[in-house]
Amino acid sequence: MLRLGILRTIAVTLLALMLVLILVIPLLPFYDPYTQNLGGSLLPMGGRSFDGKFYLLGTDTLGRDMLSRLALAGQVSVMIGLGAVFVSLVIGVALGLIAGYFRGPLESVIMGIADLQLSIPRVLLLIAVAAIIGPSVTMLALLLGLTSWVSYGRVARGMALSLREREFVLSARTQGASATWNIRKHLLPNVMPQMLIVGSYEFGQIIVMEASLSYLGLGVQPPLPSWGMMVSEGQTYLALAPSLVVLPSIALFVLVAGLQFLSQAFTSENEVVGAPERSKP
Amino acid sequence: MSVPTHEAEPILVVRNLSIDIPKADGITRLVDDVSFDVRPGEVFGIVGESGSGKSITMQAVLGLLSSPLKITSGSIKLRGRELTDLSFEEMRKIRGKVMSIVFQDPMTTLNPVLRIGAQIGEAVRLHNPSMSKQDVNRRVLDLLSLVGIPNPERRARQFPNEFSGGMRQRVVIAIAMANEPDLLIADEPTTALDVTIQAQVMAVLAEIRQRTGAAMVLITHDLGLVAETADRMAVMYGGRMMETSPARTMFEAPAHPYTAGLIESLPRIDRSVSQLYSIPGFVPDLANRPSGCVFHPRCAMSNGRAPCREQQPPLREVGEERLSACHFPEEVAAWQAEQERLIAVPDGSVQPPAAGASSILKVEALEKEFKVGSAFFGKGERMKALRGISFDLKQGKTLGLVGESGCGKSTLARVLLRLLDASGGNVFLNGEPFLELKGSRLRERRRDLQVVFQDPYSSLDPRMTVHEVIAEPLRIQGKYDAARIDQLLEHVGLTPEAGKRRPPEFSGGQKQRIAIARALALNPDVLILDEAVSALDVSIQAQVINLLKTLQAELGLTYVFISHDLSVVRHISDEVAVMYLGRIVEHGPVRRVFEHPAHPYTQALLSAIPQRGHAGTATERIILTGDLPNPMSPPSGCAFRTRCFRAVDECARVEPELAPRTAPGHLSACLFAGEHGPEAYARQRQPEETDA
Amino acid sequence: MVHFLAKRIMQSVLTVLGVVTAAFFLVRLAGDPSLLLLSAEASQEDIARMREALGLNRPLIVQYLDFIWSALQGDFGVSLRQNVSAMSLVLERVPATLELALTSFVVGIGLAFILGIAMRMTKARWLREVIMWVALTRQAIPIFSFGLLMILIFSVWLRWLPSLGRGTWSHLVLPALTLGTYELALYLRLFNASLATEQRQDYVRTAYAKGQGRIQVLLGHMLPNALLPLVTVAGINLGLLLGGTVVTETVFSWPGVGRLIVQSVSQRDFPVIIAGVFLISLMFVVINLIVDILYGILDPRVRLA
Repeated sequence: MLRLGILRTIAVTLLALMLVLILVIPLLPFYDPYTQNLGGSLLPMGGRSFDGKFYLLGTDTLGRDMLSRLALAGQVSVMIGLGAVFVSLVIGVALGLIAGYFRGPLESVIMGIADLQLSIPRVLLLIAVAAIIGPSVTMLALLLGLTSWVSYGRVARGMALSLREREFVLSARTQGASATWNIRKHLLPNVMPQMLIVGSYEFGQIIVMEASLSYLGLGVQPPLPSWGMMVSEGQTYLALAPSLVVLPSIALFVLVAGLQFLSQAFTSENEVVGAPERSKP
Repeated sequence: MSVPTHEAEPILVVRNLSIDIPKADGITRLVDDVSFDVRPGEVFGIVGESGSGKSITMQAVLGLLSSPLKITSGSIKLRGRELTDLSFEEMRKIRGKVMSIVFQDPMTTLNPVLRIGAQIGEAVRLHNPSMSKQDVNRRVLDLLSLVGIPNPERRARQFPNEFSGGMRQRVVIAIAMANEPDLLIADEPTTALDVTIQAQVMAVLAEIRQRTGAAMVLITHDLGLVAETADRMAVMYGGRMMETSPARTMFEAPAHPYTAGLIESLPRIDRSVSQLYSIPGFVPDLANRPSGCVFHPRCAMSNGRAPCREQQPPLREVGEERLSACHFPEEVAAWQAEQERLIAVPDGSVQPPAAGASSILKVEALEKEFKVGSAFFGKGERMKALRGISFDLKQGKTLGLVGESGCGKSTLARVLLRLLDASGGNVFLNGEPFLELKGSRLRERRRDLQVVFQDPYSSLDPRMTVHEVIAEPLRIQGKYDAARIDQLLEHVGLTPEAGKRRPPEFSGGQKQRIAIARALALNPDVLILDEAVSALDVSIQAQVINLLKTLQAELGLTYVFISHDLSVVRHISDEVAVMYLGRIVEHGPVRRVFEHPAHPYTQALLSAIPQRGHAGTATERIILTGDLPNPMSPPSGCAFRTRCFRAVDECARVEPELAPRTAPGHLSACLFAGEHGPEAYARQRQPEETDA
Repeated sequence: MVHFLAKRIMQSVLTVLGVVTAAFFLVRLAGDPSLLLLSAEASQEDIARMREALGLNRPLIVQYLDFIWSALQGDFGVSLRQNVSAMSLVLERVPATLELALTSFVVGIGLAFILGIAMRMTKARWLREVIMWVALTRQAIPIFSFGLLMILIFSVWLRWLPSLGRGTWSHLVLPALTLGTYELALYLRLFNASLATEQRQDYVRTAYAKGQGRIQVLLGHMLPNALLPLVTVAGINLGLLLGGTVVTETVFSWPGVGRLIVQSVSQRDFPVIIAGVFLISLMFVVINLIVDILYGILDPRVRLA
């Protein structure tokens, strides 16, 4: 439906933009996400404080440099996202392949857990856990990872179910190959490309999830900044200084859209990455 | 079969039709300058291998080319009316009314969520908008009984998944015939069906055409089916028409070397041949169609002559009713005669099985049961997939296993390979109890028994190079040896360079060669060939069969050859076992079984195969009634009795044992073994016919 | 079908049990509840008395069974901040959440349905592309960003609609649009994908061969098949939608369960949090059961199995 070439180009452009923000900005001399400048709070984009300092994207309520904070928040989000994607990909692929290759009671148990996990909206689960245990960046990445393996698990299992009946797997078995051999040599290489597509989409979802939790005050905690938290802080000044809400929103959009367009660009029209699934009757 | 009359105006006239597909690197011509006529009331067969353009041609006639395929030139006239420039709306009034189509796969051509009655009724209502609801319903029921579906009232309210494949195809025929079209296009209508069901469906088609007088275009890859069913036929290759001629004389007097080559590549059900002719090379890549005659690079008669290479031969008259697109059609007869001489087996030259040859694969009373149903609820029902399978295969011999889908032949292969666990019985491989082996001993002994599967598209891991594919068994056993892999590639007729490429770059036949090389890597004693040549085109199939025979002679291999195709089994096997509903019902030396079948099921199977010389003898054909019974609740006594033309009350009470009944070494499981099939069938049919 | 439903009902019961179990252990992880109820200066004796009163000195398994028993009766204890039962606090807020969730659901699925059909019927390629781009873009904007953007445009600048609270229908417009369009993107992609899959099916060819028109084939043949995956996903997604209400309610100060849960988190009012999560999960389970029944009605392959 969409021209995939264009989609790919846009995705790559957006992601490149994000890389510049989180990798290049921190190298610049004016990078300073923490210093408060109470004399220069809520400066507009391109504003100067009383002491003559120039702020390309203005300052926040405490007079901190928006650009630097956006960059640091991006680093935090990406780190959390990468960690969570890694955790969920490893768990999801492992459980999915095991369930699909071995079948039997093991499969019922694994898929039962997946169904159970799907029955509790992820946000609520995270809220409950974050509220009780208290959030930290590592904990957040771990929790997000533990709660999002199901997408990989389902797809991996589905593919394993058909791969295990493929004739090259059967013939390897007749040659004396063990289950480990088949999973490592045949299943894993064949599911990995699809897993990376799912991973790209899920990365975006995790970024949104982390931002939402931070927006609710349950994610990243000050003094570390997070885009969601920045939006939440700026909400009060929506009418006065809309850029406090708009700028982190744009940053979020650039990263999430980049990741999701990328996964979309490698998917055919009759597939939907990220659609929730459940065991079919 | 109706007699075509010359004078009658053709119903369909196709002239110089070309169809293109635009691709990234230019336009590819899929159908090139094709012309033919279909006369009223006749059956016109179009034969061709995959990629010949036969189906696309007829989709163009229906105006159903899927985008981006496009008619670029030529004309299609139906009853004198030009179709190529009609709008979608105008074509709509013709489709389903004046002409209609029966597609190949009945499992997917019906809408799964709509009732059968509604789907047929729709076809009626579309072209008769004023018809009342009751009349439509009545017509639906008429149509259902016309195509031989019992209980039409009840069946009309059911959904497609409650119908068997054969029954669904009858429904599709009912839809196609709903408005009694003048032209019926049947696109491989029986290819997805078992041979006994194919016979039923072809009989329904013949009967319904007789009633309505519709002409039919039969598109198929099956030469036998065309020879038997069609009045005239056309052969297509590489998007072009090779010949058109009367179908009955096709086998005896082909007008084109391609047709002759196909005929000589075909294994025969009616006699043994020493080896098959195989058309060399592969189906041409249509993006780079050979110059001159499209067939010349593979032609046995061209010998690189200039006209073949340079000029495209026109389709011209070479005899009464015969057109050929060959520069030298007069040479075909001599070539064919020479081939026939080369492959003939002198009578009595078949060696009897060498006495004392050692038993290599011995199977004793093998059983397999599947548990069906949930672990949570309901009583987990049991399905017996294999019952009392026994045979003793000698070194260097080939056992052919035949039977229709659901007979258990593939389950048997998987149990033998220990991909599934047996529920009972023993298997001795080289005298060792194979089913009892465990752990490293099992892993080691597995190499004696290897397998080649059916589907060349799923048999090789697409992510590995061919070298890695063949290396895998060696690596598993820890015996990697690069030289051995090159040697294996050469064994199966490929070059070592092929090892660097990946499976998707190879054609079906080549992939099957690679799969064979992989299976041979561990020097097995026994090779199980599970429908190993079934997915291949005729010309490629012959190549692979010849390769298998050569390898067997060279390496002293023992084969278990599983196939639904009896002609191939006859050609390749020394002995044959026929399976029905999980049991062997007949087992004996191949010639004995094919020439004097003892079990009524074998008799029916053999009789159902369309073949040369069968034309016009349809009355002798045994057509089994009904479908395969539900294996969950098989009939009492003899499992075949529900479809048997020979069955008596006693058959419901006793299950006949597999025993020599007609000759020593020829086992069968029927109380009436050996009685001549067609005669018994005719006798049983007699009262029914006098009633009608 | 009966078999399938029985299995589903059992799964649902297991799910609810699982949620309750998870809740029990979460509460335990939070620490000794008696410490939360008592002031910091409480003596050892006070704590012991409190533990006795709360039944905390019984074996863990007894406490667990007791917790389940109460939970199944809807008793999650008393709110630590307001002296009423946690469940009653949550139940009070349910209508607001349901109103928001259902309106958003209808907006999302309705728009997806209309746009999906339009995309198949129109011959204008640009229109199809625009719809898809809008859907993809919308999907990449988190709910809180989009909601605040809506407030900025329609409340702050244009002053057309109220930005906060619940009351008239005009209060519902922005939250429902925010949440509904977020769902729309997924539904539309999914609906479009299943229509694209159906279009390639053989039965579509059969329908054309009968002489049917494009719209007849689309609505009469493809639609009934394409709706099946949509129904499944919509069912599951209703759960995600309930999750989405948490953020939406916070953005628009909508007095629903989600906002209550978030507020309770900052007040460390655990019984209310657990009761809220439990109730939303329960709603989700019930909705999914309904979807399964619906699925069975739509798909004869399931109905007959």
